[in-house]
Formats: sequence, C-alpha cells, structure tokens
Amino acid sequence: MKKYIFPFGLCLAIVLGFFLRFYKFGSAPAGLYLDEAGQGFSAFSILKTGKDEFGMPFPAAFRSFNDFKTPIYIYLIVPFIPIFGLNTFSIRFPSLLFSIFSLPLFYFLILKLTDNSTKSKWLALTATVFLAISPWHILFGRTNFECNVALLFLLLAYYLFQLAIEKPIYLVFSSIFFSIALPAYHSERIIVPLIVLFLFIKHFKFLISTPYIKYSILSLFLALLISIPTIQIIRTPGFLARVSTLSIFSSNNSWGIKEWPALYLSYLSPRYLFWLGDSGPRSSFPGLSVFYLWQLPLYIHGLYLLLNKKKFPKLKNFILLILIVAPIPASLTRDPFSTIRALPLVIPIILICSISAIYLLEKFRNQWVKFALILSLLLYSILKLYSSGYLLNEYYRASYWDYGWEQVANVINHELDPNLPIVVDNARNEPYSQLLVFVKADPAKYQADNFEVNNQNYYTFMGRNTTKNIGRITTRGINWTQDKKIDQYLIGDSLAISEEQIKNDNLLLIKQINYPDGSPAYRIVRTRRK
Amino acid sequence: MKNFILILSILAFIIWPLNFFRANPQLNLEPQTIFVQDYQGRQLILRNINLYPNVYLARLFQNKAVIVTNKYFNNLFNILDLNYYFFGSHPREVVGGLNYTRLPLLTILPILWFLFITQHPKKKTFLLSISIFILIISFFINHYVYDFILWPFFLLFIFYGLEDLIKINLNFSTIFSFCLLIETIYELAHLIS
Repeated sequence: MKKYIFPFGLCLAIVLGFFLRFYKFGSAPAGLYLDEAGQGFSAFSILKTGKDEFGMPFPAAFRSFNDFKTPIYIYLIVPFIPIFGLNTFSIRFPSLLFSIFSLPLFYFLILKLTDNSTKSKWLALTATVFLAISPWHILFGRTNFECNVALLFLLLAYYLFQLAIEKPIYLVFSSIFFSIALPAYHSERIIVPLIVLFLFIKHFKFLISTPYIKYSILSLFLALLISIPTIQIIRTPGFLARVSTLSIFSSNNSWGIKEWPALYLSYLSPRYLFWLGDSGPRSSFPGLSVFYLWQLPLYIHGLYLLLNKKKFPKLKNFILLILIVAPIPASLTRDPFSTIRALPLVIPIILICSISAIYLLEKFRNQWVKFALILSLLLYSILKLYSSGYLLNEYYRASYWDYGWEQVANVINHELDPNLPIVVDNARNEPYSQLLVFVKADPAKYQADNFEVNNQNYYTFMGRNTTKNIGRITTRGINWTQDKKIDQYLIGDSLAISEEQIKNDNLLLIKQINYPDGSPAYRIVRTRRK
Repeated sequence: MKNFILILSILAFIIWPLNFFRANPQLNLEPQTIFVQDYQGRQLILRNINLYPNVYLARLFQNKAVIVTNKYFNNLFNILDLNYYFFGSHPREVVGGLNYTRLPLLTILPILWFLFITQHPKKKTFLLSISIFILIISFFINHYVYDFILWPFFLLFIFYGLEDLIKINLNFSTIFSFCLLIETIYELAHLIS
C-alpha cells in the first residue's frame, strides 16, 4: 500500500495544479492583451499562409509592435488553432499545457537530484504541491507568456543531462532542449549559456571520456544546427530590440553598474517574494505576492538548512546554480521586480521552502496535527488564490488585459451596417491585433493590404506603420474635423469619444462596452444619423 | 587582526549615523503608529466585500484587521529587505531623501555569513533580540527613525562574521577586509565632501 502513496500524491498534485490553472481558463483574465493577440494572429497567419502578418516566411523572431517576439511560443500555438479555433483559449493553451507538464517533470527532476529515498520522495512531492499552488507559476500558466514554456524546456534539458550521467545518449536530447530553451524566451539567452557552462565545467572529465566524446560532439553539432536561425539574426536591431530598450546599461537609461546589485538583491528579497510581488498589473494578482506569506519562515529556515546541511549535494548545486543565475537577466532591466523575466527563480525558492517544510513536518509526532496543518494551509492558499487571482484581478485589472475588444468585434460582426467604413482610434493603445483575432481577419488579405517592410529588411528596419487596414476597419487616430463629415462608425475609448463629444457632434451611440467595474471601456458611434 | 576587524567594523558602521543625520537634519521622533484611522482603507474593504460570492469568504480576506496587518507587514518587510541597508531601498523607491545607505555593500558578506553559516554561542540570543526589536519597530510608520536600535546588532554581525571568515580562510579574508576598508573610506570621503 505504502508504495502507492507517492504516485497517488503526484497524481493529486497534478490534478490540483490542473484545476487551479484550468478554472475559467481563457476567460480569466478577461480580455486579451495586445502582445497575446499579436502572437495569436502571427500563429494564425503562419498556419494559413506559411508567413507572418508582415509576409515573412517562418521567421526566427517575430516582428511585433516596437520589438521582436521569441518564436517558440508562436509556433506552439499553430497546431491548436485548427482544434480550438482562433480565440483566447487556443492562444493561451500552450502556456497551460507546459505549466501542467512542469509538475511531473519537477517531481522526477528532484528524485534524480536526490537519492530516491523516502525522504527525497516526500521532498519531491512537497515541492510539486508548492509548484502546483504557486501564484507565480499559475499566473503564467493561465496567460500567454513565453517564459513558462522556456522554463519547461530548461528543466527538461537539465533533467535529461542528469539522465545522461548514466546513459550518454541522453546528452543528445539534453542539448536539443537546451538549444530550444535558448530562443524560447529573452531571459533564457543569458540563463541557458550560464547553466550549460556550469555543467560543462563540472562534468568536463566525463564529457570528454571515451564513451561520451562522440555524444558530446554530436550534441554540440545538433545544438549549433538548431541555433543557426538565432545565430543568423543575433546582431540585427530586431534581435537586440529588447536589450536596447530595457537594459540598465542602454544609453537611454540613467542607471548602470552601481544600481545593478540593488536590482539583483531585490529578486532574493523576502519583501518582493512574499509581500510586494511584481508591480506590473499583468504579471501579478492584487493583494497576493509571488509566494504565500506563510512560506516566508520556510524560505529563511530553508536557506539556513541549505547552506548548513550536507545532504543531497546534487540538489544543493542545482538550487544554488538557479538561485544565482535566474535573477541575472531580470536584474539587468530597469523594472523593480520582473516576475516574467525571473520565472526560473520560482524553482529554487520552492525547493528551499520544501526543504524546510520537510524538516519541520518531521518534528510533528502527531499525524493528525500534521494532516490538519497541511490541509489548512492548502485550503487557505487556494482560497487566497481564488480571492486575488479570480475575484479582485477580474474587477481591478480588466483594463490592463485590454478587456472589451472581443465585445467590440462582436458588435462589428453582427450589429453594424456592413457597407460602412469603421475607424478605430489607436491614440492610446494598439487594438489592431485584437481586432485581427476577434474578427478572424484573412491573413493573406491583411498581408496584401498592409505592407510595412520587405523580407530583406525584416530584422533591421525598426520603423512601423501605425495605420492598419483590416477590410473595412482602419485603426488610426480619429481626426474629428474630417471624420465627422463622413458617414461611418467610430470606435474609441472614453477619452477618444467622450459623452460631450457625442452630444456636441450629434453622434449616434451604437454601443458602450463597460469594464467589469462599470466604467466605460469603449464606445461605438455613428457619425451621421440617417 | 582582531583589533583591525573591530576598527574596520566600527569604521564601516559610522556610515549609518552619518547618513542618518544627513538625511534627517531635523529629527522628528514623534511616533506614528500603524493604528491611525484610515478612512480610505475602510472604503476599499467595503467595496471589495461586494465582489465575493458569500460573506464568509469576504470576511476572511476583507476585514478591518487587514488594514492594520497590511501596514505592519509593509514595515516589517521593508526592514527585512537587504536593499534597505545597502542601497537605501530599491533604486525606483528613492523618495524624499529618506533612502540613505546604512552600510557599505561589502559588509553584506560578513552579515550573511554570520546569519547563515557562523556557529556562535550567542547567535540565538542575538537573533532573538534583533527579531524582537524588528517586530516592535514595525508598528511605527516612521520606522526609519527608530531603526537605529538595530545598529549595535549589525556591528556585532559584521564583527563576528569577519572573525569567522578569517578563521576559515585568512588570505581571502585579508583581501576582503582591505577591499571593505577601501569602500568604507570612499563612502566616508563621499559623505564628508
């Protein structure tokens, strides 16, 4: 009976993790942020035409607004569009899938890094449960963020490397997944080489030993082969766009090496991890940090145990390696505590908390007290997540998730005169990508109507057209003097089309879309009444 | 060597009071606790309560106690943040000249070494005492005026941390101590100028 405890516990952890990620999946967060929509339409365009919306066949980095998106996530969306259609669900689905896959992988990775004893199995199970209920991991598992997918590839590559210590063939697979993790997200461009360098130095002797050398060479060859598309564009302005805009060392930033240690320390600070969290409204839940408050004593105690106990040296190495390396790319950017860029940090901190939890739970003699404590903490965490992640987040953060464009597209598709042109104001936001997704625009026609750059200059030309044509819809700033003279529909937020404007210019209000808190999101008006 | 690290610890430590008096030329020691009336906080709680499907769940996360505990944890986490001591909080939080550096950055090593590695007979007493003081001063909104009370503890942490480091690796500790000395002199010169 006892031998089934751990497989059963793992299944329960996966079910719990699945439930927390799948509950209201696709509809919460309500709305589809422009980056998500942009990636979704890029995937749709690849599926239908083999080119992105700018007409580039199978890009190595996807042109998007003022920067370039990493390609892996976009290619992962492609197979799900024929299954689920082009919608929020399919665009966020790879994130959900990879987030769930991370749970068993994390469990088996911990077992591999420990001694497979009962204690290590409890540690693996505890850590998996902590990951299943982690607000940090759940948030990025419910929304379209590439960092989540990159994390799975990173963990998988590390796990396969551990397997390679026993069977050299796994070295090849490990190198493949490290090479895929590299372009999967911007942070991994720094994290992956540092981890690979560490593994190479630490295992140099066996990597060049007779049974391994041919696999090492093959791995290197495959890694280079997979990285060719990335290497080809590595020096282009497109590839470096993120670095040049976000780096603390870029010319348009007043910070530098003096501020870097402060930024780095904030990623290990209990203040940010357990209290403040990320200040970004799309990368946090209101009133909930990236870890639960009750995990704070576990973090401090776990750090003490990690540095003082000599058990599980491989696991200790892994924790310290990721703990040191993971904040580096995020700390090189000017944001205070970017959970998106530092996502791999969730792994060592959960492990540190789990080490402490196992140690403390051993002290409890009474099994019922132990059980009641675990159940109470789990229940509290789930309720807290429900409160912050689903109730408060939906109410307060809808505007940040660009809520309302799906409703606008429904009105365009079903309620407006199909013969009249539509102007959508883009003075404060860029709604064209959401409209492309929700009106299910034809990618081939969109490519033909919206030339921006030829394929030779795709990665080098950084200019962009702000006016976009999607059939009869044009996204641009409203020119009231001109636009009110033409019989057409105008769509904009409450600042672009105010109540006074409607009254003064005798506009006909067709529909007003409100945010969940009741404030106006968008207004659809007709310029000349019939 | 012991005298040298004692002098070095004290030298490194002078930065805290010097910066403190420079940042607060007119000291206002009047305590401002977290228990002050908060009308806006109450209104927010009342608004949030309506978002919950039932009153029991609402009361669990949205109650009057939350207003006070949130302020308390804000202060507590601020004091627990290493950036608070070495950089005057996060670079984005530089507000009103109160974000002053309390300790030279390099003292982070002996402090963390003492906290996590050193096995000192009085370590538990030190940690218990500093924890009590931290828990008490977190009740004050203007805790940055009272954090001076932590001053002697950090001096001990630096001293014992350095002492332990020297026992483990003399060469490294000597180089490290000289680097710390240079950083301290630079900081002091910067302060005086």
